[in-house]
Amino acid sequence: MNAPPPSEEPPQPKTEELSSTVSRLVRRVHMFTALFLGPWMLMYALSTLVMTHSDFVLSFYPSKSPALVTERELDYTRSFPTNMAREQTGLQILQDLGLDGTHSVSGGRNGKPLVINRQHSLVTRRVTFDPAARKVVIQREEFRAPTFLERMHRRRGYNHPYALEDTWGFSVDVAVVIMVFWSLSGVWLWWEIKSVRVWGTVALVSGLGLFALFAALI
Amino acid sequence: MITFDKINRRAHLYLGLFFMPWLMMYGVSSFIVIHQSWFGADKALARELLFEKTYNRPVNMQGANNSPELRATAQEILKDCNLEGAFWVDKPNADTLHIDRFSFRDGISMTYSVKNQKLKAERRSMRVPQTIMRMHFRGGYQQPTFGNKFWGLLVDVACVGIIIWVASGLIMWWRLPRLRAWGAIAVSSGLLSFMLLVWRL
Repeated sequence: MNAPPPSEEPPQPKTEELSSTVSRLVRRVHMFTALFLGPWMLMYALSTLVMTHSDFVLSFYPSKSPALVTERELDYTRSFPTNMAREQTGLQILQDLGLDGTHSVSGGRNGKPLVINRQHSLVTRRVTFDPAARKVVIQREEFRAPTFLERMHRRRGYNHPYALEDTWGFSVDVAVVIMVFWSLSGVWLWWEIKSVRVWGTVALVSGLGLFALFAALI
Repeated sequence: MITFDKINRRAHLYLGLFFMPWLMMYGVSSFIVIHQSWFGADKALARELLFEKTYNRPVNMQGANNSPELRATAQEILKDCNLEGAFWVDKPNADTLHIDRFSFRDGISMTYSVKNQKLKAERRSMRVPQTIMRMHFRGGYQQPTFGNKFWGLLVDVACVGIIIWVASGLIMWWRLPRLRAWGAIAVSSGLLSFMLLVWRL
């Protein structure tokens, strides 16, 4: 294990100095971006496996959906005009509770309780406001690793007016653009290693062929 | 003698080359999914009528949307029409069965009115961004035909491939002593950024 790694850097004649510099740059960018974005890639790979095998994964849990645990139940005396949009009401309630952040609202019409789903990657909460009883109930969703992975996978960012959402969206944008870069730079780096051109061609052509075949057939 | 390092490098390289089209597709499709409006992926093309005919098949309408019972019936209807392949089935109302027969290239919407004994099929072509998006969402083993199940297998192997890329990439980096310091900065800053986002998001 302590033997030095075999050198696969291409020979660098002086006349090809520029090409060598570009090659070295591509190699470094390929590696450092991959080291940085490793957690994103692991999350996307694991979450895809979880989603495509959801029946199997769920068989390890007693219920299909994670249980909701009541965290707090409190009196809530603020009243809202009847013509106020439920989105505004939901936002105000979250601000009052110190839970402002990405959320969606449902219910709240025809005297029914307003339900606010406060999204969070680790701890999703459901806040239910019953205007008739003037009560707010805060429930926390039990943590499940598969649910967390799926939630992270589906989270795209940019859809809500929160800087954190945009930051996540930007990180995903960077990750997917870099994926394309890895594909192209990987081909470049492979072609520079003469000793693996034949088997590399077999791998690349068979992958491309299979992909094209499926794209046309299914 | 083949060393561990060489096996690790070759696994990284050949897996990467074989699954390059999938990695590329997932990269491009994710970008389209996030920015659908930029690519017009949220605008469907018009449907064209394939056929509308009298058709009679007893249907068990008891099952829920896409339940095994409804899927079995839908599969028989698709077989009768020579349109076997991947599909979803639902009941828009008590006496109507709707089958969404989809491929990467197009989608065929079939509506069977049990009451009127009429079967109507309409085809909708896909824009290129929509086709790429469909590839992104396709996976698993629920759909019939060997091709669909094999695609599911390839998606699974591509995911395992990504995990192997991450592990083999880390090993390759660690075996380059000159780059350990900068690599450690990249790994730790990536991990910290990810954890911070997860913690706060």
